Amino acid sequence: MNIDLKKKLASTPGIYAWQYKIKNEHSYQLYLTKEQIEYIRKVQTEQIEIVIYKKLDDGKLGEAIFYLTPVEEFQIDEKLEKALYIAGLAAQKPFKLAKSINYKTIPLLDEELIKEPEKVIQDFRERIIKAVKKEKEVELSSSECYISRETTYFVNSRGCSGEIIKSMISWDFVLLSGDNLESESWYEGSCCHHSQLDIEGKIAEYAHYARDNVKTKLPRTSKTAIVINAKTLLPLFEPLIAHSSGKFIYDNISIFKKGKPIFRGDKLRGEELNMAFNPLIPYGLRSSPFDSDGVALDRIEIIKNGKLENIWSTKRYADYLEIPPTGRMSNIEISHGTKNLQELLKAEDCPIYHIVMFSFLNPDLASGDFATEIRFGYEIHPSGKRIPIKGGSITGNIFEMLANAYFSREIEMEGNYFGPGAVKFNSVSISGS
Amino acid sequence: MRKLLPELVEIMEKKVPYASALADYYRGLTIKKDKQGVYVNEIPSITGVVLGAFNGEFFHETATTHCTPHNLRQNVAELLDTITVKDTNISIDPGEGGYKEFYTKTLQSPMQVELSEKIEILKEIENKLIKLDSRVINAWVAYKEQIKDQIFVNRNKNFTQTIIRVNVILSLFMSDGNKVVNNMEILGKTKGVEILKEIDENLLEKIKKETIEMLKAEKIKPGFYNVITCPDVTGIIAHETFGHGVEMDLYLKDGALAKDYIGSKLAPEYVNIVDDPTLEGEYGCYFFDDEGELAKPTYIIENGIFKRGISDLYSSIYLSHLPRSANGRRESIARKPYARMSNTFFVPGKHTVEEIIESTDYGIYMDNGYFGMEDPKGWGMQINSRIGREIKGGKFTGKVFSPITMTGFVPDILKEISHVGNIFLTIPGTCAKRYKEDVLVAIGGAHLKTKARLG
Repeated sequence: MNIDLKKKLASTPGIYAWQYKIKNEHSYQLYLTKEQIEYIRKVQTEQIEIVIYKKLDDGKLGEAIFYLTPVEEFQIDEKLEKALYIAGLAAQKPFKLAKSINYKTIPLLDEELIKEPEKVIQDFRERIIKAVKKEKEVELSSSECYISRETTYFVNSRGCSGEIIKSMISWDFVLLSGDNLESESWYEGSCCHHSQLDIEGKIAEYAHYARDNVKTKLPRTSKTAIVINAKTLLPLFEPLIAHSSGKFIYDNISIFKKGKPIFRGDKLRGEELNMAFNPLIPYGLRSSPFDSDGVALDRIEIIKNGKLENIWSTKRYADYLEIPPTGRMSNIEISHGTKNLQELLKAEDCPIYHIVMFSFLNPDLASGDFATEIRFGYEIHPSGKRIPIKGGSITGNIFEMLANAYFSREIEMEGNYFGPGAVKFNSVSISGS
Repeated sequence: MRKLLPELVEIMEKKVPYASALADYYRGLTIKKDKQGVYVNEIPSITGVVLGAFNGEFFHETATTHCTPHNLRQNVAELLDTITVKDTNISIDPGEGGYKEFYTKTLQSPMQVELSEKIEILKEIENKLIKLDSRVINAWVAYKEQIKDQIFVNRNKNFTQTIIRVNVILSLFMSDGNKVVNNMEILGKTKGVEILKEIDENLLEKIKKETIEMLKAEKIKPGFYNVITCPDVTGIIAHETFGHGVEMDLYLKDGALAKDYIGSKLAPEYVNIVDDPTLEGEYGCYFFDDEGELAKPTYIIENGIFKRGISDLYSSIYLSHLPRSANGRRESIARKPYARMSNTFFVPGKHTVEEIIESTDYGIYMDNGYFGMEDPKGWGMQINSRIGREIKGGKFTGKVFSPITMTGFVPDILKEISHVGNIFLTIPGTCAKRYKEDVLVAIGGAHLKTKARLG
């Protein structure tokens, strides 16, 4: 960037407040079809997001957001003129930008990972091929790996500034099994430190699923208990995250009230949910000292003992609600329960289901309703017998299901989720044979 | 850029058997009106150049947003340094060439309509949404205009295209004091601002009626039903089953069951499914794909027989016995191209929707489809709709279920299709490949009657 953007924004007449972010990303990518290389890619991107604010006559605040890429730097004057025109039309309820503060230091950059990314990519290929070869009756269908280094620099007109340099590995693989390779299992994950890249462990786990996937049957149409794995669980919490947000509360959409239970039903029959956001976890996927508006981040309890403890909010909605800003969502921590996984997986009177993977779990944020196909799991009988299942669907409402939920004692870390390895929900509707 | 890119391709082809370059310039605006006010944002996009070189076995690419001639020449030099050319017999046909330019036809280009005029229209729509019913607790409306300029160059081709897409989302929240529901209506086309005129009183009334129905809806009893799908649900079926299911990059990975069914009769003869990027005005339109292949329709199912899939360049190289289609698409220059859909739909048949409903003793009419998920390997599917209307004795009973999920084995559901409707409608969508790689598409078709598992 050749222009002094800070000076430019501060000296442009008509701009009341401003903030900008410069984001640089260097990425190395490997794509495998079976064991063969399909693509090797190197990507370098830079993007500047600029937000300007203008005071309007009626006391409202005008806002415009625009972007600059390196080839557009010479257009800055033209873009600013257009942004001021837009801000004159985009009238919003006023709020203040984040104020200057010393941010916490969190380790986010794995130097070893980004020192020689080409070598890391090559090692990845060798490790994944070796790990698959170790497994019986399984082949690699495809795999992708991206190693990236992201730098984000933030500054605003209230003297707030900070920089985040973060390393990231995003990877996936698909495994095949069966005489005619008729069954598959797949995994995708991201992490920030090479020590978190558990290729061998994940291949072993998903090879097991791929083999079991050869001999699946449909689940039974029933109303019974389901146990959902950590990897699959996170989307189910999205309605809770939405309803505890300043935006949903200000917009009058939230059904949550501070200090009141978050489940729907006459009484709690299972364990209480405890949920927090923790942006301070070293090398956490969503760890960050500040959010995209420059608000300093810290650990915050959102749901405590099954009740809404704190509203999380961006700076805008915090000002609207006159509450302290917490900043945007980060890593999600869910407290463990009292029973271990084996206890949760015990069927008593009738078969229960252990869900390893849904096709796509996409609950409605407002209602908490969801309906999703079972991609793979197990039917567990009172005798302890486990039968692999696939197909059919599960229908439910997360607010109702939380009235009768049990959290495993074992804790797992998967992406930005840190919590029980599994959660059991009693009395869920299953459509199958 | 149209002069520089051929020079870079020529330099690369001094070392490698095939090279190409793609320049992407993506711009546009989103305008949203909600309770707090008006938001106008430029679209964040990655604008830059991707340079690709085939080494005889696989592709090397370098992509950058730093597009000065000096930097691009340097990137080419660095790229070539990393490449070892493989001695194979594989060659890539650069295709019929020329210097071609393509533009989306619009009645009202987004550039010709004042921002203030667009904002006023959105304010009026949001105001009407809020006043639709006393149970409305919130509403917003968002408009998006996207203009994509691309240049594709290989040793024969020097193509440019400008694609203009506009979409509008209307979102309505209602509450009965206990439950909150959210309904959405999405319009989108490869055309201009004229799309805003499609938002009329009928559409607002439809959103209101459906949202009230969602508030009162019950959960469906899981089981097998006669199912009638409205055109957008039909479109999701086409997309998830004979879109994702026939992406030929998956054939190379043994990742799609469809590969074993080429040439098989999978549905009655009145069932036809097409992927067509040339379908003028539809959201997934383009003139050439991201690998320079000129757009053309792919007849995936013809008269019930599964004929062919859709391909990207890499899969067409290694499956040279199968025809190449124009479906090599990438999310942005930051990602590689994959075999992806454009506008995918069931071709209309002969039945009126009234005939289809009257023919149903007991069944569910799936309405307001909003989501689907593919399973190319198992050839299963998950299709979600917000509304399921009960039909008894050939008539709607007024009872509504929400949400509804259709699941099942694709050949089973196709084989059971007894009616194909005569109305053709499409909706815009964003399509992901498994969990990432978003591209813009349209889906659609006609009413279908089949049998499927609902939950």
